[in-house]
Amino acid sequence: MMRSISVTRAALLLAVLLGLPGATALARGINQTPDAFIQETFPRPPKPKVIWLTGDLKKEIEKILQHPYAKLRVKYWKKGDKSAWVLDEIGKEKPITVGVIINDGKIASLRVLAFRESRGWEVEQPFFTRQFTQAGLRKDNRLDRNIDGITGATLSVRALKKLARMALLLDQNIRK
Amino acid sequence: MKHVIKWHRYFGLVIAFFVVLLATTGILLNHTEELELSQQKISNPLLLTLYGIPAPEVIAVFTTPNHRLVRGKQAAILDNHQITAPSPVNGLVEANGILVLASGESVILLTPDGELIDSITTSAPVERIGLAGNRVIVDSGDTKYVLNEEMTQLQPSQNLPEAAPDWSTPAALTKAQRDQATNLLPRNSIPLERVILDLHSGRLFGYAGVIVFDLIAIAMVVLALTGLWMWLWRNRRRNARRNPS
Repeated sequence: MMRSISVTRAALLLAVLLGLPGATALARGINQTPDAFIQETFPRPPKPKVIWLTGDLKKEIEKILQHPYAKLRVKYWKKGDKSAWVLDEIGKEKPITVGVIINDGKIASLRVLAFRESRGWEVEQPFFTRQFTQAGLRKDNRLDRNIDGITGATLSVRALKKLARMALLLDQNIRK
Repeated sequence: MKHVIKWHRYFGLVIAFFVVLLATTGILLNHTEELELSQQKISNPLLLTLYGIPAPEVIAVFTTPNHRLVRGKQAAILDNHQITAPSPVNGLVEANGILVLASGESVILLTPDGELIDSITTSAPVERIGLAGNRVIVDSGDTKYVLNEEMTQLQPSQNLPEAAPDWSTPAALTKAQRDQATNLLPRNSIPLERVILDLHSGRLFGYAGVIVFDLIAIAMVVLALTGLWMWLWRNRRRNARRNPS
């Protein structure tokens, strides 16, 4: 018989599998594939690198997300001071895939690549994502500016804010 | 009147069992939260059959020198860890201490404990996955890929190693091995609250059960009325004997 079955692990894996980045065809809810996002960010994309979520970094990310990140490592693309990240976080029930470009420690742009929830789609709109431009990370790992919420999209807004903080923290770590 | 009393007794005997059953289940349902009935799960195969819930079924088993993956209809078990995957598993290989699983249109990297490291998507569903030396080869129908050494990218077939890949295939299982693998899969279950509720309404036995419980409810009403009628009749007769005039 099984010694242990990790339901959380299963749920996280399921969430990641549901939100697999890089699908070639633009399925329902997918605005841009991660490949297209990287291609647009870097006309000649650098080779992807990975950062492992271990030790203090893992703990800090867990604190930001309020749960462990689904994967043990995160892929990123970096050229000069610019880095690009494709991250997933569950809004209410399904993963939201977000592409974040960071330039010199500040968010250059944040884009919702895939939104699979039935509500809260407003977070995809530029009027909302523009608020993240030039946002940085304070010492307490919070954004250095206020992001106005959207009525009826509280969980999606929260997910995007968490991913923005996570991307900035990861960027800080690769620049150390 | 004698016939009524006789039938009232016989009916009463039969109905008594259901009165106890309905009262007991009713009391339990009134205290669902305190008794945490919704959290308690029942996985009795016979009961699950009544609900039309199938028993766990092994679809395939993949093995590497150190690990075994049992793919069921609803769950996948890596050694002893559940790693529920929504799409079919097409193969499992082990390279540099990392398990690489082919599932639908993705290649999933796992730690030996089943923790998700990363996932890499392919342009088409992965048909097979194999090892050529220590390099992971992914066959996506028309295109074959090699997983780069950092395990971050799938590179197209021009970089294929010369050695013929050793493709991962489902293990052939004897009946005993299949039974053993089935035992690893999580059993389906149903909350105790649901069972008690359906027992209370008769729905546990399908629509016929509901009709039978309806008839029993009608019989209870009839028994209550006949009981009341008999009591009044006896009272009237007793009064008539006491006051003959």
